[in-house]
Amino acid sequence: MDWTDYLSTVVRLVDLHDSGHKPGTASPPPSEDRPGLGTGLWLDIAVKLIEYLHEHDIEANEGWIYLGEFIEEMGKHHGVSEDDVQYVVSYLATPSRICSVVEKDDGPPHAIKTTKETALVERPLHQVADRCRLTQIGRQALQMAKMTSNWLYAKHDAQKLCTAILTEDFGVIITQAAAIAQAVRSFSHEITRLLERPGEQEVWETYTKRANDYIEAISDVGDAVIGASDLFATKDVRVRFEAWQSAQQGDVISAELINETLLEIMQSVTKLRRKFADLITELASQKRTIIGNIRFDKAALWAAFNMPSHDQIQLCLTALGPWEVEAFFPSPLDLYGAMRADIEEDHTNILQFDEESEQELPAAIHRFLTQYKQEILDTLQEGSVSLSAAIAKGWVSLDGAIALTELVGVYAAPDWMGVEGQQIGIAFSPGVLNATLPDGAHLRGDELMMFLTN
Amino acid sequence: MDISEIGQTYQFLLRQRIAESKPSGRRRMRPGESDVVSILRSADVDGIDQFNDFLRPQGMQIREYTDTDFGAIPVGGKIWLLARHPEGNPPEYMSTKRIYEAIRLRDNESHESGNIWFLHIWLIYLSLIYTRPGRGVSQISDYKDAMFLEKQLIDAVREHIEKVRNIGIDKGATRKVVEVLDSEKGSDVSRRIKGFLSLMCDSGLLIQISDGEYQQTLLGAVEIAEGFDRSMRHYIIPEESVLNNIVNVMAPETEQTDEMEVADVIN
Repeated sequence: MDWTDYLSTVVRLVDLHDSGHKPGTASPPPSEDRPGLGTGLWLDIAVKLIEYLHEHDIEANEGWIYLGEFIEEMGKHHGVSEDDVQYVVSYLATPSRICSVVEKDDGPPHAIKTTKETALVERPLHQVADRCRLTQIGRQALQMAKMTSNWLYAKHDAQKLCTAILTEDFGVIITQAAAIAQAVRSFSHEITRLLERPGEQEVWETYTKRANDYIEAISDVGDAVIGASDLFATKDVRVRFEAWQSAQQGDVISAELINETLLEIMQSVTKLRRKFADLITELASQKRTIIGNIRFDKAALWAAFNMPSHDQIQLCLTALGPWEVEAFFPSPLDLYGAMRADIEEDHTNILQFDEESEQELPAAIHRFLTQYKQEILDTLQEGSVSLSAAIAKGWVSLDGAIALTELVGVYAAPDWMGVEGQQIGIAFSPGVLNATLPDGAHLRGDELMMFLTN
Repeated sequence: MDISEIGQTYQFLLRQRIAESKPSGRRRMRPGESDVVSILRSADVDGIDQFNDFLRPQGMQIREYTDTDFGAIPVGGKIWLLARHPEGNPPEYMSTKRIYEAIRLRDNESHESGNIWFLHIWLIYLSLIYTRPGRGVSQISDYKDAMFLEKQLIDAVREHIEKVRNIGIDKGATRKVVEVLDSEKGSDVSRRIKGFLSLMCDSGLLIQISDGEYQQTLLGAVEIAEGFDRSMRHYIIPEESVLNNIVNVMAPETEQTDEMEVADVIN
């Protein structure tokens, strides 16, 4: 990449922009010399920095790029210190004002338009100096320096895939494909940003005016990639590819890799086509639901005057706030398992359902409910009932025998209670149960809770 | 996706909220994440629709994003989110109780006090990642830039408390709010903020990128962009004209002003 060519195209324009010469006064000849050290040092560090940031841009996903490695490189290459490199970063990150004359049909002839969007790199807003990245202007500068152009010209890059196949330059296919994929992604991200922000009239007009050109460019890229894929699938090309493969040494590109790469680009182009259609729909609808900048700091102060109610805050929390899963609906099997495991662990009495008890179970439950149902329901009206409380209330005895099975059965299947118009909920607290049965047996494990839910 | 795969994916996402084919930053794959990613990657449109049919009655949805959606997603990478559906009702299993545990410092602190602390920290946190950089709530793309230091949040909350203190009950601030915020002492604010940040990270709304440095997640950005109008704007944020009448509270960094005076607050 030759940055000198790039600078040559603009340097005199910048000089004129900066010229303090007043109209109508004598004009001295412009200087052929430029101010500065005349060593090109700072320019070299600057362009190397831009290229370094560009190289790392893809792996950083347009995120912040740490400068440690670059500073080290510059130290070795130019013998400069970290402060010297930071001087360049600061220079490139500081915006400068550019003024230009705007011609308007109905306005004053010399309306002045200014912009400060000239910073080529940016640093994080939270004032950390160890990283930076290219700005959109920085990326544009890079693209211009590379003598490439915007998305509208991407089809030319895509067509190079066919050229590479036809000229048996198979080695460049992956690199070329990566460049196209990056162009697709960048354009797609640009559309995403447009859809997320309130419309800037000029930008919207550009897209509206050139919508057909963009749609055509997307189709052209898609067609070119499909064409390359079809071409690569022909028997003739495959034979030549295999010959090329066998002549290569080291890691050789496989036909599968090329196919997959081309397929991925086609999928990306299809997605891009849909996204651009969304953008056009948005442009046509003129009704956008974009939420702009909100003064949350002022809203916080407002909340000091008008504290929202608990319910209002809860509604916001459940919609947007942090949350976690809290399930309190164990199945009967969960409860049975918890009890049994606990009793086994203590080597005390094990709950068993022998043949006799199984046969008697319905009758025993019926008798249990006849005796305790109303009492349980009355207690539930006052609040929740734990298994420990139920045992303490004596609901574990039935006709002189221990009725633990029946009592736990009510917790496991509260529907047996047959409450109309209300539901019984069950919860458990791990490891809390510690009760003594009338026969002296100890019961430890998870505590069960029964309560009315509405 | 068969029932078993939906179950496996659901279980993972309920706990982690986010699955990434190429975890960003320094994060490593979580246990079970590669299996879930493999299931989701191989799922066709019908499979994802079926999963969404299962999630929709719970007020949830699965969202899929690729590298063409946002620059922050690694090349070739995909992200799946278990996000709240903006038009759905929250599921029964959703609990926000831990908020009070995270924010509370003393046993005798009431829920009301927890609400006040959480709301004010939450709004100041949002001002840090949206208001100050001039970012719109709809700007999901910029989630990767929504970084801040824990210290910045602490300073911003302290600054806010100071303003509330200066306004005081005499000038119309709610007695309870002033009492609660005014009661902070020593390291109270930083301890509460630690709890807040930990809670936000556990919920997949924030990620810690280095010691004391945090970043909003894609999930956090998507949920607020989609759900803001129906919840926060509706219940907590007053009309723009009302906010504009609260002058000189805190100028965004882009504005060239040092005025920090709190004045002319109009109820």
